[in-house]
Amino acid sequence: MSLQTYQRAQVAMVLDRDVAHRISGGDLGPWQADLTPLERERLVSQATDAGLALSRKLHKGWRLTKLLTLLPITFRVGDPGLLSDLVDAYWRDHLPQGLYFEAEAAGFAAFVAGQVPASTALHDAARLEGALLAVGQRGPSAPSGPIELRLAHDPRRLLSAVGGEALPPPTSDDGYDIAVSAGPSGPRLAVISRA
Amino acid sequence: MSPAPFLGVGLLYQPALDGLLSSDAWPADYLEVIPDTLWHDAGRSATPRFVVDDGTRRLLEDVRSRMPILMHGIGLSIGSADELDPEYVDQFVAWAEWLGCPWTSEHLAYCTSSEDDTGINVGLTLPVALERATEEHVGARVQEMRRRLGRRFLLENNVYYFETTQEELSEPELLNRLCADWDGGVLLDLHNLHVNVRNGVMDAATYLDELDLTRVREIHIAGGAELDGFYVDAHSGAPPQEVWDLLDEVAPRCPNLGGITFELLGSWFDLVGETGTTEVLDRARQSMAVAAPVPS
Repeated sequence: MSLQTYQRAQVAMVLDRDVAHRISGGDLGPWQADLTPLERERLVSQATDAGLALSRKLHKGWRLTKLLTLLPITFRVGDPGLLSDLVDAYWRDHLPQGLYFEAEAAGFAAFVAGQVPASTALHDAARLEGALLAVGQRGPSAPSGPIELRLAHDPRRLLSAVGGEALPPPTSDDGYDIAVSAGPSGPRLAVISRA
Repeated sequence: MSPAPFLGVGLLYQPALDGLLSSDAWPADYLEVIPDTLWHDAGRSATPRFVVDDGTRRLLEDVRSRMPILMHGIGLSIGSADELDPEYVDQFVAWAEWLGCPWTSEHLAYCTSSEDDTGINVGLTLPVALERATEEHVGARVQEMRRRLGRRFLLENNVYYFETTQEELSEPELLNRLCADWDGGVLLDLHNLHVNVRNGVMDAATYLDELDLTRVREIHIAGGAELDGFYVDAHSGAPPQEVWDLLDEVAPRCPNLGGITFELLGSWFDLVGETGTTEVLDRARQSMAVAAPVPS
């Protein structure tokens, strides 16, 4: 399975600059034993090739564009520097698994919500967009029913940042209780009555 | 090789084209689609796995009643060392049949790998090593896709942003072998060739002299952009003059050429505009006219 190992190492260099740096010094880590001498030579040479760094940039740009597109409110209300750090941290532990990024964006939204204070607009934006994405998912990871959220920030103001139309009214003085569910033409928001 | 159906000039589908596609001003003879962007793949464990929105299905039904549709895949990862995904292949074959595609295509590349049973997709067409082992590996898959599809299956020449040392073959040599021995065909992406020339990877005249141009069924044209000292295949505008020069030179030398497709990312459509898009296709049609087979 030498070709498989070669491609795994090449992909790892595209995804991670640190891996490329190690390989450029001849450290092929867990792949070393499975590779032919020619494959090792090729990988070491590619590790310092400026074109590999370009490929990494193209890959990250492609992946980041998907997050920006799928989480517009989160990236609108959050501090760019903080979000850049959070993206890097999330990607360190999560590989790009497909051409469809709804699941990754929902996972990143949950990650953001877990990393920032609950009192911030970024926290609520990430939770709200995570829920909107989750109810739109298909397959075994799709939630079976509505997702209920209590937000500290008015969801109407969050959604207005991206021109949202389905705006629930405020529900109480100390928070906003909403349910996010799948509708025939996309996710729906509804106010939860606590009466 | 049987003669290609002569389609003319085409556009790669993007949602930004919806208005133009439904108007009388539609400037192309056919539509090329990337099927992976039109179905939703819920993953290997999902049932149903591939889901198509009603709107997309209606759109494609309408288009196929008006013009030919070609499929240009990005998810097969034909050069990957991992097994091809059989459900993906089934879906690709079923859509080619449903849409009545005259031929289909993919990239001479790989985009997927795996680590600890986790699938990885880098979203790039990473290069396969140009050597005999790759011919055997990819060739068997080309042959199987051709058999399953019951129609021509083309491979597109790749962009090479980094080098693979000590390769045995040139890309034209590998493509020629995949055609001659494994029943493949060629989608000649002239912008990819131009990218490789601009980045100092290859010489265009040598490349075109080596490639068996009788195997070229389709040509892609596109525009690109500078990034970090490289010229990249960004599909970000009208083709540069060098691509037109290549097209004028090579189209008359491709006796089985059936279509020239303009690739433009939807996010750049406003920049090029409806008029600019039409001008690109009209210009491509001029090159195509020189190359068109003379009716007997």
